[in-house]
Amino acid sequence: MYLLQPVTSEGAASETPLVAADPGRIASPGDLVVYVTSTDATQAFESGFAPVNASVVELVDGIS
Amino acid sequence: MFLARVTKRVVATQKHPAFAGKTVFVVQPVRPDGSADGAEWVAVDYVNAGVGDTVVCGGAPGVAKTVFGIERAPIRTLIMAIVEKIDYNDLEPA
Repeated sequence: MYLLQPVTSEGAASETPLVAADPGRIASPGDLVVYVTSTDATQAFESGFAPVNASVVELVDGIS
Repeated sequence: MFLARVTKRVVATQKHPAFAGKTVFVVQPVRPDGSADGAEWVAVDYVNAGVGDTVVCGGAPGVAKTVFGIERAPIRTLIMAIVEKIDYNDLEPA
């Protein structure tokens, strides 16, 4: 589980931080990621269900 | 659904299998006149949109699963149409 700080595409903090699971184990602290929330967060798990509110789904290499 | 302008492309190598082969864009919700309306958002492309396009975005839990024909799709928002023009029917833009 990670604490995520939502940011704009310019990297500025945009919303309050939240806790997210990382079902694919793709992120590390400091990384820029894409996350989903709610039902979509549960869908990120193999089982299709997990008691989470947010999940990391992409590790961002760059934004162009 | 909401109108948005595609502003940037998100490049990622490591991602959930549901995102394989799909392009993710940063989109800026806009009003019909093109002015920004609210915070930017991330959306998965379904119509071969490009940066600069005005698009219709939307989605609901389970929609991406059906659209892409995959078992699990942790995808909230899809780019579902590229807007060519908005006809105001002689009304003032909102």
